Amino acid sequence: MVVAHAAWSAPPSVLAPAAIAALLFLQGWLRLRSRGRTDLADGRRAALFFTGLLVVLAGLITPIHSIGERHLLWVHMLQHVLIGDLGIALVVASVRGPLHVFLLPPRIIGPIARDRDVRAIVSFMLRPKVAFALWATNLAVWHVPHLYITAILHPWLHDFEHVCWMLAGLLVWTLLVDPGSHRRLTDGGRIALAAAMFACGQVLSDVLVFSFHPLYPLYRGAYGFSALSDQKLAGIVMMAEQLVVLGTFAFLVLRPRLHRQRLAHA
Amino acid sequence: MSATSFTFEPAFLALVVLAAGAYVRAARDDRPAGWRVALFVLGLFLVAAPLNSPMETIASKRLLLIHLLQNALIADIAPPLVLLGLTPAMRTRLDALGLLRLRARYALPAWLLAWYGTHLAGFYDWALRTGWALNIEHVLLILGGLLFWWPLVSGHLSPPPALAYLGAGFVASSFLGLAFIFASRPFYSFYEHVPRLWGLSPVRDQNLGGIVMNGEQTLVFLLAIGFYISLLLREDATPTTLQER
Repeated sequence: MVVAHAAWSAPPSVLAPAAIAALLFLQGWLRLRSRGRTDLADGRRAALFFTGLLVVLAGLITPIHSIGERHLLWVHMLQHVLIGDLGIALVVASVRGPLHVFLLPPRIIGPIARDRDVRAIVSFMLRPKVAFALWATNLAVWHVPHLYITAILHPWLHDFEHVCWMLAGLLVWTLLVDPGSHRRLTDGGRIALAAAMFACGQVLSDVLVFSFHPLYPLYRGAYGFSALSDQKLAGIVMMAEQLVVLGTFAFLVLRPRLHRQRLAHA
Repeated sequence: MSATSFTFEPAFLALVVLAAGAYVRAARDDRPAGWRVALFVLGLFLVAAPLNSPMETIASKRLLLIHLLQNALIADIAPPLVLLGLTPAMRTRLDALGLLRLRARYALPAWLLAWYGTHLAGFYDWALRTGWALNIEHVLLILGGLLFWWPLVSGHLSPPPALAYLGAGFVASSFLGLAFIFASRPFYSFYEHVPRLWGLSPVRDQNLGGIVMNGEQTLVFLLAIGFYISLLLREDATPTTLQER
């Protein structure tokens, strides 16, 4: 009975934006290559982008979506970290450097780039404190049990929730990866932002792991998981994903310094 | 024996007195700041008090939760406090005695070995049943904690490797607490056969113990990581400031 819900889905509201994103990337990637800059648009960038896109799609069209929506909280949590964190991080990392400017065709990016209002809004949203506050608020608000359940019961709200996850992830990962080399944050600042994100995520993880009562009544346990162990696992999924993704990011930022120090000692 | 009666591990009282004596002696040549003295004393207190109080009674005769809390205090919190209480000159003297050779790459596995080794079911049950072997467990935990925190407190690690070290330590050590939280059967047979306290079943007792352990480690590690991030930010700010000048 329960396994019947472990189905794939292909809603146009997911596939269409994914196809547009893939096309935009491909045209930008090809344009940059046609200018002889294969070093800035190589196969690894494409692999990184499409891996990121697949990670996001895995969260939205595979059984992760159907199981997470009704049966297991930890699978729902997995979906959120895939679409709002890991997938977005990979996509942002894939468009580092000039490639991110080539993502939109000149006819579109020109007017946008010249529009003062748009630039002011983007600039404001990408202020580290603003971006982090939005990300943290998004994390906190969508996990309020009442809203969480309401979103599951109303597909349009659930879709909106997913858009919020992706936008919030896009904001913080743009600051962390800094694809445009705007240097809004120093290396230390980027590590601090990653640590602050981890600390916030840890608070949520702890609430889920340490609670002795199920907080989300829609989830009554399935596939051999009790409601409580499902909830604890949801906390662990969040913690583990953040440890892996933010830990890898911190290591990559610190690696040049560690290397320099090793050379200095040698 | 009542749960509120005192139990003593006199060896640790003696160790604390010896450490305090050595500190007073060293402080004659190199007077430490008040805050260092306070941290050192607090560190010693957190070794002596959990092992010589009703906490020891409950830990060794009733609840795993309290035993894990006790271990967290003596292994994770007391050692860094004691080491932070040392002045730079005192630390240099310890370096000269051989601690300079204690590299992070040795300290981390040694700490993890002590951390996981002392919590193995066979060892833990044996220590609890014999009583005297609890001394060994506690010595290993305290030594492990001192070893782990020494490369950081001694200043041998700059912020980037210190962050990597703390991150690795945090991740590697967290599995034990998580195992306690998620386990649906008790790990230690000793606690299945002792009188219960506060209505906690052995499994609930173990789950709570894992929560305490995990929460405490998260707090300690995030504080330490926060400190090194602040140093990193200061490092980042320095060249910019010079350029601006």
